Amino acid sequence: MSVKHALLALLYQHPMHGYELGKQLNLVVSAEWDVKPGQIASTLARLHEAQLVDYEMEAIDDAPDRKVYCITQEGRQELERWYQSPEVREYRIGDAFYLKLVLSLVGGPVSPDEVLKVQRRELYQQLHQATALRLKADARTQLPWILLLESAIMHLEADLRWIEMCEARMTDLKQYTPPIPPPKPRGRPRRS
Amino acid sequence: MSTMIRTEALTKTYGTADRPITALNAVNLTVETGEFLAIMGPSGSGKSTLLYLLGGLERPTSGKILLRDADISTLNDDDLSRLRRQSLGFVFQFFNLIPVLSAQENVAMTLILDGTPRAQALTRAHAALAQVGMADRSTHRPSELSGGQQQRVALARALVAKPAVVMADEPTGNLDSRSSDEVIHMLRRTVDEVGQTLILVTHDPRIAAYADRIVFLKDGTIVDDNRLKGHGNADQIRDQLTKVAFG
Repeated sequence: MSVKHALLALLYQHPMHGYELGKQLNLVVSAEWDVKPGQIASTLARLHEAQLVDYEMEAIDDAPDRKVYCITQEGRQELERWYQSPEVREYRIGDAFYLKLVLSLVGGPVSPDEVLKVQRRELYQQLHQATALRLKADARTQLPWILLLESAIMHLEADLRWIEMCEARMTDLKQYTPPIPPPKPRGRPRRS
Repeated sequence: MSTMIRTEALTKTYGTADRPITALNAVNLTVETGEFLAIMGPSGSGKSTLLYLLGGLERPTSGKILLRDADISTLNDDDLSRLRRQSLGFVFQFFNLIPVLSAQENVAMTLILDGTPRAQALTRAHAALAQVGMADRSTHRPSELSGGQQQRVALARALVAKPAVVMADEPTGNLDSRSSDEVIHMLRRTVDEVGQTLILVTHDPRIAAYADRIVFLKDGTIVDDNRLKGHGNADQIRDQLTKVAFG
């Protein structure tokens, strides 16, 4: 879970209490994400149970004592392991839409051309909005957010290129006959 | 919104009478004032042909092209030239700047050819260069400018006569991704800030995504016409992306 490792990464720098961690996280990744305090607290509790973080109580004026968290040696190792492991990319639109396209080739109420068109429209709509957000973002203060947007933009571009390829090969695709067994004769066999 | 361009059964065929090649087949297209339209399609779809016809760079085989309700398909060569100089601006893939002239002189050339006094033309050229963020390089020659900068000068040249429509044919086709961004952002800004009508041909989805509307051509006809909605789901995208990043 990324929140878990994000907190470890921050605590690697120096100890912090829960509220500070929330604020720091938002500043560092600046991805317009409002971290819920509850999420931080529950993640810290799990990290503590797993002995990846520890805490000390700190007394403050006019408020209950609060926990100041610090990373443990095991926490440091877990963080290093996380950085050293690549993220496995989950495959995206390829699967659900691919299924729809192939089924429409078999036959049905909607032609494969129309199926492609519908999908392309949606992708362009999303690409339009992502590029609009990209245009508004300030490269000096929102670079992480821009990186995230660029990732979305590039994936949408790839999906659209794939759709273009399917369109270009539509004549071949329509001639493809999938291996569907012929319908069986219905009814009981006649007694001889 | 008023209509800037309207075509009626616009057709262009090449080749011989017994083996004609139909580049455009009875296309009906309307472009509104202030609209940013992208035209897309595979090679041979007729997209560049459509652009050149709309820009008066080629003549149709049949059908009409109405620019602000005036039929431009029947103009003679002189009138067509004047129309192109005064009412239309062009941006091409390979910049087409004159190498021996400075940026300012390149931009001023359109006006000078149309009879504007040189001093006035240079002043207006400077203003157009400022509009595209190139004022501080107005004395540079094209060889002293990067691809993206040259294309911005080309855009200034297209804008200086305050044309009714700017036509761009793969304006980022010859640029790296950073320069492409510069140029497309500039084009989008002219539409947003001065209400420029812009028609752009591209094969690049990212470039087309900046438009208000995308028309898809295939084998000389329009197969899809897609208006892109502005701000509706921007929040949804933001939510989706942050969810993906943070689970």
